[in-house]
Amino acid sequence: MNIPLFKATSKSNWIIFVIFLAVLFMYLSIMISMYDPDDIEAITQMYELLPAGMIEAFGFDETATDLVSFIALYFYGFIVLMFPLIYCIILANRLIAAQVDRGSMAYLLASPNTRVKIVTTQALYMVISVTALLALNTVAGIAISEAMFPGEMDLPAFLDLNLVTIFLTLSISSICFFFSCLFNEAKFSLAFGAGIPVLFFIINMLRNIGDNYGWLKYLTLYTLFDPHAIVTGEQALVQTCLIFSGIALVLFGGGIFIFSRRNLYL
Amino acid sequence: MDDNRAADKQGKFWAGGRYFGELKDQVPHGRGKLDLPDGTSYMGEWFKGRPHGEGTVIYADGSIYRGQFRLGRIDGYGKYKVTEGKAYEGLWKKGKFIRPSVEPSIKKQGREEIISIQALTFIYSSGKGIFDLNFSVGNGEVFGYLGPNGAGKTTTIRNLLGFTKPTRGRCSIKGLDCWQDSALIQKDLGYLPGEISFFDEMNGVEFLKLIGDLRGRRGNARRHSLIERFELDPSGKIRRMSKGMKQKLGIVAAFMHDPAVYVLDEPTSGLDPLMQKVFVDLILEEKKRGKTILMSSHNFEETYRTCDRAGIVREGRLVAVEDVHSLKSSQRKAYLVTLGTKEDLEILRSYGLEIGTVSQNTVEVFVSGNYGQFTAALAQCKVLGLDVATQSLEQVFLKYYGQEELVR
Repeated sequence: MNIPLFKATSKSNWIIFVIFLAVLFMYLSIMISMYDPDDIEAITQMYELLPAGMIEAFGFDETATDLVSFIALYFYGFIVLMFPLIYCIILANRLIAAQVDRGSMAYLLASPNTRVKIVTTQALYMVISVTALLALNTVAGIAISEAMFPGEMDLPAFLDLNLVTIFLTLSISSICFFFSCLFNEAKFSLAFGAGIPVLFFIINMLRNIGDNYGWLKYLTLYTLFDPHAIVTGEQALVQTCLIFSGIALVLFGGGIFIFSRRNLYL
Repeated sequence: MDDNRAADKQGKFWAGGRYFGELKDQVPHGRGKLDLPDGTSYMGEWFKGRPHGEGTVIYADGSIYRGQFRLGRIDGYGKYKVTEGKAYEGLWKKGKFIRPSVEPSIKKQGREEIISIQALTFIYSSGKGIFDLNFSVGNGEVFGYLGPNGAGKTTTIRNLLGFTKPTRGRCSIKGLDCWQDSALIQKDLGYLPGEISFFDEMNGVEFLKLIGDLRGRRGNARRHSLIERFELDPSGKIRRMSKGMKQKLGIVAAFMHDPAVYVLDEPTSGLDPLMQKVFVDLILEEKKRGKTILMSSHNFEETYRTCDRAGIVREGRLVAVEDVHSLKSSQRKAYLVTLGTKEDLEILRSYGLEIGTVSQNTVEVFVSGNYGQFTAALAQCKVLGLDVATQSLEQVFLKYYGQEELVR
């Protein structure tokens, strides 16, 4: 890793990080404040006003009986997938593809650092910032729920949920990063790097709608992430995390490898 | 500079041996020699207590390594002589021998080749590219790389910088392969990209600092003097800088680490005439200091003022490599002569001058070296005006480009 580059990358990307963190915090606090331990039915009733199809698409058709499954259902089923996904797409594009497209990559490669070193530094920034984003979100979730509903939160279940979320998002970020390394033009890297994860996300929403679309689960990475099953302990955590980190390792490694050997028209 | 003083005569106890030489913060830093009790000794450059840079180590068994070090380990180009007749010469990495490579300075007909391009071919998917280029730039030479837009200048430079892998052939700088060893080459190379694009959100100072840090260099006296010289104000956001200002920033970034070799892609584009002069002076100064420079251009005048030799590239092929002065004589210049009378045109014709277009009483006359003939003819005419016509590079080097290309 090249430390000066890491610092410069952090400096030019921290604002995006803060924006996404703020958005997550905002939704998280709204969601937690909507939890009413005495009347869990209230929120369910509110959702009953919405068309059934839409509720299913958002994955809100399970029932929540305590705080952690409530958050798992309404926050980790949709918001915590969508915003980090957008963050990954924007960041991956900025880290490699935009710099190649614009030509500023030439200055990085004209320094006595190998391509592998430069691109690994960028990959590390991606991994660290995605992890930090979700780790801070976890801390905030615990803090907010302890402040509003002391003792209500099932901490081990919530930590499990967040751990899997981090690995899931890392595997999503690796898809974005891989395609960012692959093309000379930002438009292509964006088409694939954003297109594939967004497609996964849309398929995930569709497959929730009904049994007719059950086969769709084979077409999206999000199938491996079932917030409800995680908090109720029905999902094998270690295997899931291993699969996600395996995907991330292969795609980050592949991106670095391809970038280090391809022609760059800088 | 107190802590930079040399250690005393007895030397300093260091790493179990005696160290003689420059210190910084009580640690070997700069040039110095370390003798170890087992007979091993190192002499050369130090960085924060570790051999770093050029140096020689003599081992207890009499074997010698001479070459580059990096953070205490043999790393870079070097030669390890085990016994008489047995030696490992080439590229080293973290103490391990990677592969034999040519000595960085090949003595060839008494000339050291610094930049060497051999049968270099790079073909884009469109079929365009550069084809079978062969030339070299010697130590201390300034080489102009001339050609119209799209001729392949930048493509050649991309290969020199290791951004692209040659389809065929190879290019090397100081004996190191441009594709495989690009990071190693960059240590001593200054590069100015043809298209200026930086990290928009930074300001100039931050950018220069980042470039310096990426090179792992401290000390910015040279950076300051370059900034002053080019009257650059680096404090503003790069995004808001004018094209000329960005170009100056790129020049400072390429020159500030005082490398031995420069590769500059159209360095004066965007500079005003005054700054072009400042740049030309800088190039001449660097040339005096023995630097090797390859600069591409589509402007012959600037090449003429700075370069020793020039290569002319057209449609991806090298059409000529010549001494700049002989290029000058083969340069064809067009003059616009405004004549007083119609008869004067006949006088010009009678002198055998090459006449181009005629509009009203202004005549285009081409001169390539035959100035005597030209001035003699003019003396016979009533000349009302004389102007130099602006020309494209193709027109200037008609000899190399061929008439038929112009007609097309």
